Amino acid sequence: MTATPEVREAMLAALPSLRAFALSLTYNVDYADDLVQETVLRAWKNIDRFEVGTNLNAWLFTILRNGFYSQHRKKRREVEDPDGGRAGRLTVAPEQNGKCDVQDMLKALAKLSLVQREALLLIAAEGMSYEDAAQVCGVAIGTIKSRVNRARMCLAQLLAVEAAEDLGPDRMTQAALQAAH
Amino acid sequence: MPVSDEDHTEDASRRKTEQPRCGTLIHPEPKIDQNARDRIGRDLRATYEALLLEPLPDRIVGLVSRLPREPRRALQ
Repeated sequence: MTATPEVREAMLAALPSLRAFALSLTYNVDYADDLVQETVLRAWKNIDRFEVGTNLNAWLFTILRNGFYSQHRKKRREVEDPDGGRAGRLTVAPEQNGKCDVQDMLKALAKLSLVQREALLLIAAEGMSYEDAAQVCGVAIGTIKSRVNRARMCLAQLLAVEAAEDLGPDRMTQAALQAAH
Repeated sequence: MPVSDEDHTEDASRRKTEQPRCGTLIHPEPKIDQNARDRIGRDLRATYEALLLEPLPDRIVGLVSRLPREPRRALQ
């Protein structure tokens, strides 16, 4: 494929998805923007390697993911976020309908392993096929299915725990109960 | 037909070491129920959409607009 205006338009259209994926990997706006920028430059430089008729988004996601893991290994940046601290700093606009607490979901996602998080987001949020997601992550389709399933299990557990905590007794009640024993 | 001790031992050994066929899950992974799965899916999409709606920085949009026509030559 050559660098046509159509490809440029397709890359522009892919930017929001690329950035959302980068944010969900890094939980750091500046780092995510750097990753997207490098992805665009690398993709444009190697555009002749892109096969016409295949999924441009999947190809771009692959480049972004490879860039992320390459830097991750090189710089040993801390991207796992077991305490959810980084997730708390990544602020996004609140959900209008109020059905989903975006910040709670981001915190729960941050507690998943990177490989589970990326698999779940590619399939359940980005809407990618298992085949494309497997290509992006460089693993077998069965591995992606397994990672998605485990990620869903973890998320269900994490969000249920948080919901149970919300419904639990408040601190004063807990203190009174402890004093009574 | 009588079975020799040797045959017997071999048979028992085969039973002990017999492995499931390739592709057979020994312990199938547990799965969450459909309602929980649907809810997680909805919440995930809502969260991801919130990330998608974040404004793109000018430097990235501008970068794509300024990409040269001959990628290899210009970006090397």
